Amino acid sequence: MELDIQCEEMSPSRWAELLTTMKSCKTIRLDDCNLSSSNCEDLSSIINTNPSLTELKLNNNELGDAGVEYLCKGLLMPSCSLQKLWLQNCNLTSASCETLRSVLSAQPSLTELHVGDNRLGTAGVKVLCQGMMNPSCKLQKLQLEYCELTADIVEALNAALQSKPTLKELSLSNNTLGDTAVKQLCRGLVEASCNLELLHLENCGITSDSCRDISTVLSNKSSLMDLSVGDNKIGDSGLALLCQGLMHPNCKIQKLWLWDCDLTSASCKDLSRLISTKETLTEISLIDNNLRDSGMEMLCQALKDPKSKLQELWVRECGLTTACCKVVSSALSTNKHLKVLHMGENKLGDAGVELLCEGLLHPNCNIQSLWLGNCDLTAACCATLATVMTTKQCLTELDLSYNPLEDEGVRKICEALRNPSCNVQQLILYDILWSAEVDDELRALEDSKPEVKIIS
Amino acid sequence: MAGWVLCVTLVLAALAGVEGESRYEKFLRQHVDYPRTSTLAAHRYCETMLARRQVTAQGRPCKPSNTFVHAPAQDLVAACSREPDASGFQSTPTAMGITACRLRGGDTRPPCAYRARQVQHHVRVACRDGLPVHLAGTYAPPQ
Repeated sequence: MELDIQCEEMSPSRWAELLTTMKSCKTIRLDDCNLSSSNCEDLSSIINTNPSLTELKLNNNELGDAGVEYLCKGLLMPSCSLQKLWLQNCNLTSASCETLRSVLSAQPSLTELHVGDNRLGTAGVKVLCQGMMNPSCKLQKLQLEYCELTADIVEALNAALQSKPTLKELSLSNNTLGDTAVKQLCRGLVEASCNLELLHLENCGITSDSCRDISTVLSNKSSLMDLSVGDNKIGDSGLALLCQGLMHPNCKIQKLWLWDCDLTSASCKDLSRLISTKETLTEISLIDNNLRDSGMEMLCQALKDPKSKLQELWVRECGLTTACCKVVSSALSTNKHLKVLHMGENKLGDAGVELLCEGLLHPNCNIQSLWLGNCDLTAACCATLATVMTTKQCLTELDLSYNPLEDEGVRKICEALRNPSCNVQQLILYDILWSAEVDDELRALEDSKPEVKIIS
Repeated sequence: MAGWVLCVTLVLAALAGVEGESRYEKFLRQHVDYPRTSTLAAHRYCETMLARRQVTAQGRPCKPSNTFVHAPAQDLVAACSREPDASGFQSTPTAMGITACRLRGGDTRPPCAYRARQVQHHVRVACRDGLPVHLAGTYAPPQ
């Protein structure tokens, strides 16, 4: 049994009603429900009397340190076997960390702690790290995004990592750590016995200076499958250094996020080699890097390599134009593995999309999800898009948001959607201007085909 | 007692649109926040607003970008009586406070994380029957 509520203010009677429900719930999610510390008293007794509760998510409620104090009373009971605790953006400060530390030390069942978006600070998280050092602590996932951490935290983190072979996922995104701290963290990660699977360091003030050390983590930790260094100005030189680790035979990377990293087409040679040789790589995000048509062409050559197992390619807002679409089309007609392609916010134009559709229509192409938002598309390309929708049974998700398709274009897409051989389940049409009549037609279409969601 | 699953999911946006909403009401829901909602953590404005306005939700892909206008609805309605431009859109006579939310990262699967940019821009709308129904874009006041 699960309780899942978002953005709902609770009246006292509603709260009482929910409390009864919660007594037998395995998972509880109350996100942005205007809960406060007084609700935590009630929640504490629920935790106490519900031994089957494994997940508690209370993100975006101003619980405050007082609220967490109450919650932890329940969490510390031996009968409590909570596994996942989410307290993001709950107005917690370092004062909460003492109590959370006790929970970490006392509850071996707790495997996930998400406390991002709280002003815990370095001092507070140091206390959390102490809790992690306790042998009873079997934490696997730790999320500390936007916690106002500084470089000083790394020493304590490294000590905790050394003691925690169970730790699989660590997120420190959006904390001003800087290169010195990140390098120190990398050294700690290499020394630690934990088999880290996920490392997120987005917007941590990383430059190319840290990339050699990150590379060392990549070539040492075969367990690392998911790395994000998005929103750090690593640049082409940083990427080149990262690739040394990424290309290492020990590296089994699956998901790689390099969005907004100041990369240019110069990085695409290395990226192409990665895509065509790293058979474990299934997902890569290059969003908001000025790769341009020349860069994209190199990536497409890699996609044509039969060794490439890439399933998801995100090149939204990469400075691409109609000019690269022929090569993309060629890649689409050869590559059988690519399932998800994000090409939004590039000036592809109708001509570009017409070319893309040629590739999409090829029997080799297995694209399931296609994103073409804000690509300067008009009604002119909708007939061909409609053909793709009714021909390719594999296509289940299509985004055409922010394109001036007008009534004519939207109607053509709708016609395709009505066709029984169209398998599109999610049609995304944000911010497109259409008439009241078309608005009604879209609603009627959704009613007649309940398996389809038209999202606007 | 045995065998029944209680699942109280009240994420309204997962259902087929917000029931019985006019296009103007949808415009206000997605694009007007006045006075600007204050959030505990300033960097969470976009996430908070987009969730509360049912733009982002479980089971819905993250909207790549969205603009919130911090001006009374009447000011935007007033734009509808102005002379339309070549594209048929109408602009507000003065610049207004806006927050442009842009999706961070790449994932369109929730949770959706955003970057916010606050500027003073003119707002361009499309109007039907004297009411704004579509946000066509914003632009900086000409220097």
